[in-house]
Amino acid sequence: MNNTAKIIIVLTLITLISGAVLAVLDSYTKPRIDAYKNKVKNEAIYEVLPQNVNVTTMKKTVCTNDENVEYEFYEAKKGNQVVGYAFQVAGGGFQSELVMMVSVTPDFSEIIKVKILAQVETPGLGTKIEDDPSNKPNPAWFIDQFKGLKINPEISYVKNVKPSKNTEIQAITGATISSAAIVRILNTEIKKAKAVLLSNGVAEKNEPDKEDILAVLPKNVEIQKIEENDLVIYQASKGNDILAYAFPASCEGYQSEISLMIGVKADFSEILGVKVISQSETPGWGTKIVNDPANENNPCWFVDQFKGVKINSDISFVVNKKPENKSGVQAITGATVSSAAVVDIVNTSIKEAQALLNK
Amino acid sequence: MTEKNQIPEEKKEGTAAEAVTENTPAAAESEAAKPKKDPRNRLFRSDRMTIVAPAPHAKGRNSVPRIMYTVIAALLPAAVMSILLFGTKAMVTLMVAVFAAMVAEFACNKIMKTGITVDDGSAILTGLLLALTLPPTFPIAGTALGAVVVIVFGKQVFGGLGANIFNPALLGRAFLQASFPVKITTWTLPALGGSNAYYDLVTSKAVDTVTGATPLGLMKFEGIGTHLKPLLFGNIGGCLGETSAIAILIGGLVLVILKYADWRIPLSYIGTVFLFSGALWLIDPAAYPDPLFMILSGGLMLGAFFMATDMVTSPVTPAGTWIYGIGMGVILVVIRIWGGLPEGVMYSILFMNGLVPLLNRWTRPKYFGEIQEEKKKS
Amino acid sequence: MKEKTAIQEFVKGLWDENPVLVSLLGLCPTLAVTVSAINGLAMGLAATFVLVCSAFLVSLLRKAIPNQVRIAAYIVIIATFVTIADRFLAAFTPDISKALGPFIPLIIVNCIILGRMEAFASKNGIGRSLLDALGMGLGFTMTLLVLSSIREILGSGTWFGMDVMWGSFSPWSVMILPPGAFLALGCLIAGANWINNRRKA
Repeated sequence: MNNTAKIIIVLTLITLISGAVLAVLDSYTKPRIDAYKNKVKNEAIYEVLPQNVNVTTMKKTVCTNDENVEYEFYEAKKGNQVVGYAFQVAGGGFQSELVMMVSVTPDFSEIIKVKILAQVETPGLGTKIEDDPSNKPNPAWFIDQFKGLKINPEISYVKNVKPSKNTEIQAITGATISSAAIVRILNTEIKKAKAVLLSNGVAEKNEPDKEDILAVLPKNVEIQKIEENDLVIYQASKGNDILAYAFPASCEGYQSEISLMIGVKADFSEILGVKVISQSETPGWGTKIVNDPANENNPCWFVDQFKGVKINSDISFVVNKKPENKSGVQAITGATVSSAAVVDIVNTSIKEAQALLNK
Repeated sequence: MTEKNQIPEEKKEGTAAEAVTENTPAAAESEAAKPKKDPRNRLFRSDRMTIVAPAPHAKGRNSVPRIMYTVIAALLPAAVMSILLFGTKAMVTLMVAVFAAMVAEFACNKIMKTGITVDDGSAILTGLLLALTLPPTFPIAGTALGAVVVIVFGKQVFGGLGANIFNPALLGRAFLQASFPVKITTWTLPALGGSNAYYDLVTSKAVDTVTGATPLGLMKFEGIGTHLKPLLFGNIGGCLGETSAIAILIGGLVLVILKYADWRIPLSYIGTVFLFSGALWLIDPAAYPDPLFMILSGGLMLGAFFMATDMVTSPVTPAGTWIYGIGMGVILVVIRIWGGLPEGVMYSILFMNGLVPLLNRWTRPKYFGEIQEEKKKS
Repeated sequence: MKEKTAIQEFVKGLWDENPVLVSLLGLCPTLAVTVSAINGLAMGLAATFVLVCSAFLVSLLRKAIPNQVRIAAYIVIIATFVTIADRFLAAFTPDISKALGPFIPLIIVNCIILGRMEAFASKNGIGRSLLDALGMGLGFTMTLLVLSSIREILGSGTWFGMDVMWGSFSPWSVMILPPGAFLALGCLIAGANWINNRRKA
């Protein structure tokens, strides 16, 4: 055989096989890895926020120096009341980057809690910011000092004495630089976060596209926005007749937040349509809620099932078979969690909207 | 004389000399059996100077033990001052360090079969220097560990005295600093003249033993200066041997006068620190400490007179020595003012120690009639 | 040179040709990840997995791979197995994966592995190559385990996370810092040489 040809063929084959093996492996391990990352993040968020709250993710984009910086805030609500915001901050410590999850009260006057997510400070010294073995009763005494700490005018630290003001913490002996770094990062980053959050208006959610709203409503209608208790409902009318309502809803799917737009008849008897606005579920599995390439006739078959579903009782879902009655949908094989999440949020958000409008 | 003839002669002479000296029979035997094994060890011992060498045959009075014991004597003012200032605890630390260093040296000699060098004073000196760079509250076990590291990893693994790259005492301190970062930066203010200080510490009766930062720490983290008088006499927080500038100066000047320390090193080191920090101070007196404070605080005096001048780890040429001293001064000021640590004497000396072989090569003087490489080529 | 028996091929990697202590190969992971015994063990096992799998494939394909592109082919094969190991660690033992950080992907350029492929697996049959790789891998793992145990015990006072030192022992932090890696490795190599010299004598 021609040697050059052999070289090309062998190398190509090896790379192809290697690529194929890794592709298969990736599809198998990626959900687990992503789920773990998500879990770690969620745990951190819930840890710094008060208990029993609903957390929603808000993305704010701020333009600074012609650069779009995206901030992610986690808004904690008890009922309809915002009880706090959590966000991630980072900055340079003594010898490593310190990454922390911080939560503050809605008026940005007080820190609820700080959790250190990542640090590689000097072992036995700077690491005391997270874990101080010399303090047996509470190795996390340093970072716990931030609980309930007042932010205004700014946080400061004292050395070797107990703090006297409610904006002060005590620095770690021998790790002043790491301690000071945390104080500095919190001071600057919380101010920044406050500015970002306030500049966009705290309660304001990202406005959904008009197209998304129209997609779940009857044709040729006029839309009017109703806002109440933080809920947004779009009322669709033709002339004087109110025909339908549409409202956004979101929930935690298998590994990401799924946002939907739901359209219902004005008498809340029947769903007109459901549209997925955003999601980043497992590619090839959870993404089938939007686009199932296996179903060539109608890749959107899953959400389309909701069209015309009666609302007299909760919508149910079945696995691997056709739904028996008019208030059931079929779940996606291999993406039951994502399917269930969608069904669940459709159920609850419809009830919420109905309750609101009946008032 | 051809080389072939020379070797047996040396062997013969060596054997004869070994037999005369009062060495243990075993050591003498092994030396005699392998006379060429390590002539360096004999070079440093006055009583074994039996190397055949070309003329001139001048014999100086200096020997390793003589130099070592002189330096130890020059350190005594600082050592005594530390005992006066910090009490018996200081004395215990000094004794433990010296003893542990001697034991480690002895053990290394035995394991490496190099002949006993404990009595040449170098181990005592290194142990003493290490102890003087430790804070008074440093635990005894840590001191002993440091002394062992000093001898084993600072000196003997390189092949013994004269072969080490870095100043052993500072290497040991760097080890301790990295190992016990909290304990080595916990300071107590001296209880002047009080020998009770130690007893109070061990019986933990005296809860009122004041923990106090060093002047450099105060300057760096709280922006508090210290008056010059306590800096001179030593009534401040700090390592055992570094607090009293006057005690160190006395011993240091003796060394310089006896030419056991190259005067260029302390002058260029301290001078650079003075000029560099002085320039910064003139630019902004509020932001930078004044130069007198800079040269009197911390371990600069001790380092400049006793550590940097270590004959083994400093350059041999005058030009190299100047570069060495200036380099240390610049590094010290950079660490103290812009670095994360309040003190930088240790790292500045260790860093420049590493450059010494290069400095020696770069600054090698031309010998008479030497033709430079480039000229030869053209 | 006399042909080695199968047992000898396996045993040589454990001591006589130990990749770390004798050949001084693969020092980057050896020095960097051995801060705790579990890290050392995980690193050693991951490298052994890659070594054995790659040795099998390289030995199998040794006649098919043209000489001019053999290094490229070996690297692709090694990289494939390293990625497999990396993804599995990330998916099933995320904590260890996080602790080992970039050093698992860096197994690709670990000279032990390419060295064994080039020096042994590409010239010997599958059986011998597997034994050689297994021996080398276990030698590497053992050395890493010993080194990381020394560093963890002295540097943190624990072994596999369990307290093993007496109460008043204060850990020598330097041992889990980079200088401690060099000190401990230097002592290990010195010890190995000392034993070897005595055995020869």
